[in-house]
Amino acid sequence: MRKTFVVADNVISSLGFSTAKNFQNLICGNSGIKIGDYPHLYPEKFPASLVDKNLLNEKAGNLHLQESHTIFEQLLILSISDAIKDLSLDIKSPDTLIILASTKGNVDLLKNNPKGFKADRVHLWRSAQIVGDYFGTAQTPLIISNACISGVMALIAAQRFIAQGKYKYMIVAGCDVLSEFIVSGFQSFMSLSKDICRPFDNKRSGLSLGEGAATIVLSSQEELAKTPNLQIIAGAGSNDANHISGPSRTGEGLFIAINEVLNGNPDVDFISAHGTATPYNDDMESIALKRLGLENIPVNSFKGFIGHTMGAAGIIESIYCFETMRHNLLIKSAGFENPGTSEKINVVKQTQAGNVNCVLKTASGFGGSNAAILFTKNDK
Amino acid sequence: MPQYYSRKMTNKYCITSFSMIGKGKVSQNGLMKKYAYTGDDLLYLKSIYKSLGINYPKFYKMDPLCKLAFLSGEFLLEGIDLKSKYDPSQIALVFSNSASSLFTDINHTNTILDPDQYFPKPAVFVYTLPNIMLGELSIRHTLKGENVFFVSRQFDAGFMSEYTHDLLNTTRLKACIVGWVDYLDQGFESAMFLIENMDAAKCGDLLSPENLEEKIHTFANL
Amino acid sequence: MPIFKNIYMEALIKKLKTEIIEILNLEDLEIDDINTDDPLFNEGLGLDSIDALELIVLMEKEYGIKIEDPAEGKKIFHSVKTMAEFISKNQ
Repeated sequence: MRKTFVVADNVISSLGFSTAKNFQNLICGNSGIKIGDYPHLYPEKFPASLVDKNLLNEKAGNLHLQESHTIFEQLLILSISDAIKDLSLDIKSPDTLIILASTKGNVDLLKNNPKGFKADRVHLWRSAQIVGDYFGTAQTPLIISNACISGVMALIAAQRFIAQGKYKYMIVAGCDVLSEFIVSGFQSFMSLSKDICRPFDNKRSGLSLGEGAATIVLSSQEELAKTPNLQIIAGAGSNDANHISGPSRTGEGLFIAINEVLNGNPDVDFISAHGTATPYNDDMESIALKRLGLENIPVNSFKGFIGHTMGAAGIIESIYCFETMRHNLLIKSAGFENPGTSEKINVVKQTQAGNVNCVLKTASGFGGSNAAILFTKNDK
Repeated sequence: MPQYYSRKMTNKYCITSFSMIGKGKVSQNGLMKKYAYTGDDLLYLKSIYKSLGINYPKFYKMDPLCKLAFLSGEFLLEGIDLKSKYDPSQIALVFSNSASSLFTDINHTNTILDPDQYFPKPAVFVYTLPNIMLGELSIRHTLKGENVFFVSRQFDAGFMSEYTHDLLNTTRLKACIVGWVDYLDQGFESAMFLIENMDAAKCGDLLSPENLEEKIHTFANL
Repeated sequence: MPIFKNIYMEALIKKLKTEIIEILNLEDLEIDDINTDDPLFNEGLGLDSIDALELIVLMEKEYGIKIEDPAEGKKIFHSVKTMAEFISKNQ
């Protein structure tokens, strides 16, 4: 089994168009969630974490994508382009494969199609073709659509392909764009907070929605890994087998997934939890962590900074994990002040220095899905 | 269409059960049953449900895509006691389709088209994700293993069989349901395969792209 | 006028039962299968969190009553009787 090294990455979110820009904002404690009027999304004021569309338009313009591609496609192409720009990787080579992760892709086209795209543009397989065609890949990208665990599952699949020697490079890119479709749906679930979300806090009242794209490039070639070298060493998914939208009250699925990745691996220094800030999700995670004996490990949710970016979440937040490992910094759980989960867990309240060598990232989603993935740092 | 597959698969994994549903026909391990299809999909799915004689009221809350997956699962696992062989966390679901949840996506969009009649329904929205069918199957059959849902233009037998083979070969998972469940206005189709570790000598149908495709083609031509 | 109130309540209860069966996809049920005073959630019809949200949509769409807090909904939707009483108080 080959090792899987992180070779490059990129994040595009409300916190900027690069990993560095994003992390700078995290260190400064700046949240990208803003309460405002977004009439194209919802008739009333609400908190949202949105990508700067003016800057997106400018960057998309540089690649001549504005008229020919949807915002969803532009974000994916820009993110992947930025991630691979300093690599001597031949994206057209058959030893490179792209895996995409998204929950709803171009779904907004069902209601708003001003550029007059053909009906099949709404399909995720078509998005995969569009991205593949842009880069001229040898094989059409794969695309995973598995609710909010899509990003982590894509990383897990990619890690396994590298480990099994199927590809030299795996490019994993996740993206979701906020739309009226998505916002109205979550509103009908009454799961959106009126204020900026507060994961794990006793005053939390729901999630804040976000959008963005992110790319991680993986390779089996150790010489390509940056310093410090970061590896993905394990990943696992599971299902609660309990309810199609509510999480298991015992954290059943999450327990199974985390247990599997911890098995025989180094101790975890930091956990980037799913932490959506709904009353039930955060409770469920605290219960699973307690069952696993992880209640004292520093844990946070990045969603207080960028909201819930759905299909992109697993990728964006994994990159944030990489940054914590690169800088030996524990980033605070934005929005958290006082413990509010049924089991007490060790939520990072202030950004602080720490030895971050092994990080656990988790995700949970509609359909009872759960996934966990483990990253380690090995100083060269 | 993804061309990804190689012949590096071992002969350890077997198709121990399979089921397919199409318009007017259902196949259970190659045995075909006819069901009257008169053009109304929901009525058709309901009639199949009724014929099974089970009591599962949640069925009626599902969208057509999940109903199709649910029924396919009933035929796939009839008389099979997975619990006696495996821990629930050892049973995986590897699925794909082409339309994702488009049919229900359109339904949800219709609830928000008119600003004066703006009533999005949670019972509709929850089904606007293709992997919800995996949740329904997991609840029904107590399956707690790894789930993954791919979207591809056509069923890729090579990719799905190799992905499943590798999953069973390298992780804690010991059995897997491989599925293609697609629902659109123009048509629907469902194919599910139960894959288990089995001595090649005892196995009638090894997990292979050729075997998956052969079964699908046979059913399509019935 | 108690007589008229009773007739009104009976009609409302019947209407609610029809709506509940339709909106919550309780396909194998008839109006007579739902007891007015029985709990709708947990026991009884075994409705779940999504059903509760659908009832909140029903309240707004059909009766013009907006329920802001899902927790409030729990009390209102205890039984068809409590739903009917809530509607007659708030319309």
